[in-house]
Amino acid sequence: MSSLGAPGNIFLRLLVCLAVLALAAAASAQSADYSAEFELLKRATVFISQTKTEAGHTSLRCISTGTLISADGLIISNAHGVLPSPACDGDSLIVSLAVDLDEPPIPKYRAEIASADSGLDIALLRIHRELDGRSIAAGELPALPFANIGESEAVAIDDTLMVLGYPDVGNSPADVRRGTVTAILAEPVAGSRAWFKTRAEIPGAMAGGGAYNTRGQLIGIPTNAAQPGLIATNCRYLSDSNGDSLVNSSDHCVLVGDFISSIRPIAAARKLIRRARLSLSVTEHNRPALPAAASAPARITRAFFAPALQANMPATVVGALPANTRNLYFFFDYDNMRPETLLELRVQHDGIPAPTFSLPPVRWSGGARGTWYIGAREQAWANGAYEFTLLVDGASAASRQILVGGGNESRGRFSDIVFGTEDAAGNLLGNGNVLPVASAATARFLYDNLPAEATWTAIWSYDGAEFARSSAGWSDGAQGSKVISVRPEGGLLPGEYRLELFLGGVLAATGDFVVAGSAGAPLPQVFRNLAFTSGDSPARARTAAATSNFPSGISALFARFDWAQIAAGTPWSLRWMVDEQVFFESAERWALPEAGSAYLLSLPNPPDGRYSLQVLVNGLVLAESAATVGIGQLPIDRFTAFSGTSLRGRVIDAGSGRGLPSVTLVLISELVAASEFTWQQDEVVALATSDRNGNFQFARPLAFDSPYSMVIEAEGYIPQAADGFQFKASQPTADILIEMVRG
Amino acid sequence: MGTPFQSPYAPAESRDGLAAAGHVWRGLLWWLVLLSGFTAVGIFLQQLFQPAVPAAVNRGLGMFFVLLPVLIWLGLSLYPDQRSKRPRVGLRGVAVFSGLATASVSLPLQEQLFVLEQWLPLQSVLQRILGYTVAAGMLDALLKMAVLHYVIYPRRLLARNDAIAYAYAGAIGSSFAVNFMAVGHMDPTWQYALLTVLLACVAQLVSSLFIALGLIESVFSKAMPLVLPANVLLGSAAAGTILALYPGFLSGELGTGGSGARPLFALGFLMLAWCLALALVAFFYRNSERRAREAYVSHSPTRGIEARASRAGTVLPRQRWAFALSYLLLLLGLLLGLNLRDNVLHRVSPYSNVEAGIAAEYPAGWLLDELPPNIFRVRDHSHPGYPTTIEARTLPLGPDIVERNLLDQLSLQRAQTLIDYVVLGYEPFAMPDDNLALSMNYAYIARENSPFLEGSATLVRGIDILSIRRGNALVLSYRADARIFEREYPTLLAFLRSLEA
Repeated sequence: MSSLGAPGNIFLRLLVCLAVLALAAAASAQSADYSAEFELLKRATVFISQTKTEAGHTSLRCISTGTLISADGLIISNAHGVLPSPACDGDSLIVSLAVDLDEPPIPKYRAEIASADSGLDIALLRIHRELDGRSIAAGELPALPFANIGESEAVAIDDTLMVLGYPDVGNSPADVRRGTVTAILAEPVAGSRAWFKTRAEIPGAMAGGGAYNTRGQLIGIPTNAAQPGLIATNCRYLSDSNGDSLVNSSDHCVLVGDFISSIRPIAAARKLIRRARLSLSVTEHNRPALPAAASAPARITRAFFAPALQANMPATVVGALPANTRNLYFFFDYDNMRPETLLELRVQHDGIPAPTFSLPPVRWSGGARGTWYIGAREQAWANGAYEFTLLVDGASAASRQILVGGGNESRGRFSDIVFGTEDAAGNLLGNGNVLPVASAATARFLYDNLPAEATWTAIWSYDGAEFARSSAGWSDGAQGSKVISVRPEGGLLPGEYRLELFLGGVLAATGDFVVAGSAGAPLPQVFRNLAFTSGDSPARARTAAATSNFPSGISALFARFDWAQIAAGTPWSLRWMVDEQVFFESAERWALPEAGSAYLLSLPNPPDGRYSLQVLVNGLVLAESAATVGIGQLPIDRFTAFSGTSLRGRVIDAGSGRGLPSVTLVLISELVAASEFTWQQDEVVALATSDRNGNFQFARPLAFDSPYSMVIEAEGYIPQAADGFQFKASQPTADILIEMVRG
Repeated sequence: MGTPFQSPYAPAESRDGLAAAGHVWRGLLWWLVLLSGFTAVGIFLQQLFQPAVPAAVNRGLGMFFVLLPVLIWLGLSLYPDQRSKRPRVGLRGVAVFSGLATASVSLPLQEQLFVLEQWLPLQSVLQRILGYTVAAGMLDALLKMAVLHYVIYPRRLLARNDAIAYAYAGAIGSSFAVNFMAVGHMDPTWQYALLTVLLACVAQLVSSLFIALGLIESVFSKAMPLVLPANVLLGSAAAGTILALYPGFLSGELGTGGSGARPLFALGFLMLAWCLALALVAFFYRNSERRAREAYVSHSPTRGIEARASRAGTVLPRQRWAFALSYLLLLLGLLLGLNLRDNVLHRVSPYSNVEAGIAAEYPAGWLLDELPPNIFRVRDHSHPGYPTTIEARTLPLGPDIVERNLLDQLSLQRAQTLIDYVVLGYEPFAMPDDNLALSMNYAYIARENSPFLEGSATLVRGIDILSIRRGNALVLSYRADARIFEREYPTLLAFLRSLEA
């Protein structure tokens, strides 16, 4: 038996060994691919220093990490470390690159702000000068490695994340921290995917770096915010900013922030990226000068919870939720907030901090006043008592508790308020939250579990002041829908309105709506005659004939519109799109007279494309127009598509093994064989010259599966030439060694 | 029977019996075998273990390998020879004089006059063989033959194998000089030091053996005067071929994985080369011996008398002619080498642009582009460092603009983008067609553009020549690494001479 079994065992062992070897080989190949991609991402990670020069003395003001997102030097980073502010009052942005992946980055270039949103805490920088200040002409910057942008919408809880950045003040090489997505938080500014939460230990200096999915695509920006005085331990004194020959606490403090646990999804940055890539900037010529920053302290009021959203408003208001709750939103009203205000949400679950649902200090992104929420959707909320504490600039501003798992609330419920006007037949007409100027406003809401004779109250407010109230015992049954109206004296004036429904003195539902414009079908008529013009000055553009087709190369594209019956303070927004993609969106409050004409916007030097402009109130598009410039399609951006093999390597002397400097490698078009090469530029795809160590790198990637030829000629050495020089799509980078033989 | 008869062709007659005759060939063979063996072991060790050798040890090993051929020669050839009853006189002298001649004449001429590195490696195989034959092979042959001619000829050539022994000694001296310079200059890794040493030894030995063969034919066989020059030519060609083909065997094929050198191929080639050369020389040597023996056996009085005459130190007129023709041939070869150098270095390509109304000739092998704002630009990318550049562009001209305005405009543009751009001065420039132009000299620092490479900075000097012709302002610019600006300047002048605008 053993004689029969032995060969079988050996065969089995051989099979196992082979399988193990095969697995090891596969893992090794995968790891090689992974490391090549990882190396590329490390090279695309840059260290940004904001510096200030005073009286010939340059000092470091702020630091952050950034990520190159295009070959022509576009960098994405956090805004707080690069935009001028009291804490970061520098005048130059220095970009350091990882020349050696195992060494700290080396300053190479200067950058300027291409677009930024301090609320989102995202800034796009563009490299525009050499370190010594020489300007870089268009096309002169060598193609830089960059990270591909992924779909942050596809990120799910428990997905693996890889965060790259510089972990300290620039004295270390780029580092990577791995973790998983533990929660996805919602905010009005970016919808249900405003933040990814992670428990990875990400040092504060890595803020502005890149968060990548397992495919190596950039899906977010690790974001934190540090403010002087709040987190003193993260304050570093790195240069003699006051010129007293000492570096001590009287010098400028460079903030590195606390550990990062929140990541801003890249989707929030899309319009900023598009604007920066196309070098577009929108000017609003009627925009009044910004009022002085509010000196009053920020104020948080009316904090409550809601289990669901309806057009960014709470569907209902709850004080407890049943077990297996998956959605929860913490609402509050705010006032006197500024972009530099720091907001923090601390959540405790049964008295223990729950970092998953907490939001560390982040920049405020919601304007001066309004209603805000922070919440989480489709996430498991364990049973227990949750306490939400909101901190503004480090000070507690509001706190509320909610019980999850305590069973359904026994009290009745109001929900899903929609607003409109009633026609003669009593039908509710409207779009939900924007009503025309009329004599009355109507609200319809659902009710459930309402006991008879329960006391309920409806309070109508206009611009924050109550103007109507009704209170009665409930008599409409336990479940159904109800319509109520308000008819103020003199009719509805343009402005912001709010309806709050109380049950037994407790807020049960609330909804806001705007009244603006005259009645129209189907939308209120607020903005009229939206049209595009061109001209060499705003004055001429105001009077020029409107058209929808413009030739290429116009100096500016103007848009103008008239307006009527919109009250000051009404939230409105502008949305510019090119080729159906948003590149500019503003959310402001109306600050002009109630009626007027020729509100003018301009877009200097628009590239060819189809442009459209939408004017919105409360998220509703009330006016829209489109125009075509040139061929009506954006030019292909060759700097953002990375499909090809990045070829680099080293040229050495075969005899001595030393790197050969200044050797030129010529990559020839696939149409020309190396033997047919006649040293004409039109045959050349790219040139690379080796550095003092013999290292070389082709500035542009080689297209996959294209058979290039290569010629290397160096004085004193036997020339090298090869045809059929091609790489497969599985090889994003190639690192080759070329040994040259003396002739 | 009495004393056995000893024929005049037999070295045993004049030397210490058959042993001395065997020492030359046996020593030679062992010398090659040991050198090749050492190299093979070195290459295998390197391939198998890839030992990390400190730089100082590597340098010491390199110098030891340079001495190795000399040591083997001393041990296996010179020592037995000197211990024989009648040792050959002047072996050391031949080695030393050959080495000195190579070090002081051949190598400097190859480097400075023929500038082989600048043009030969980039040529086709046939051109390389021709180039190495006329520029390196013939120069070495000339010197080695001159050493043999004036140190040992004709009194020391008592037997055929004397010529082999002295030529061998000459090869030892020359190869030592070449190896010392090569290893000292290039500082190769120890395995490549072995290969370099073997290459020089084989090339020098093959060349020397053919010269020796020519001497044997000329001295002992009363050959025609053309035989010696033919053998010298053959030796030069053999050495030239070995020098030309060796890098091709060593150089690996370029592919997507890069290219690695192939030391085993190179070793194989060198061993094949010395085997073939040795077999060929031995064949002719034996053939010469056979013919002498046959002549003696058939009582051919002439050959026997000539052999004795030679031994007595008599030089026949045909032998004088043989040397004279050899020197003449070698000098002609060297002139051909210079001509070949000039042809390659000054080879031009035509350029014409009908639209711009420009025609000119630029150095062949320079990369041509016609990208704005230039009409055209040519750059020499084969030269290390900043690529020497010639470019032409036109500038808009207005009624009030003077030449200086245009040059200042160029300066202002360059100052925005070039590092430390500085104008050195303006001066009139006489064009070859006697037109007077204005030139502007300038300098700046050029640096590798890629931020991920450690490019060293290069001081670049440039000159703009502004010429206004037919209402157009034509700017011709020449830029080069400041270290070679003057050396390459004739290229600009040649370009200007060919310019038709």
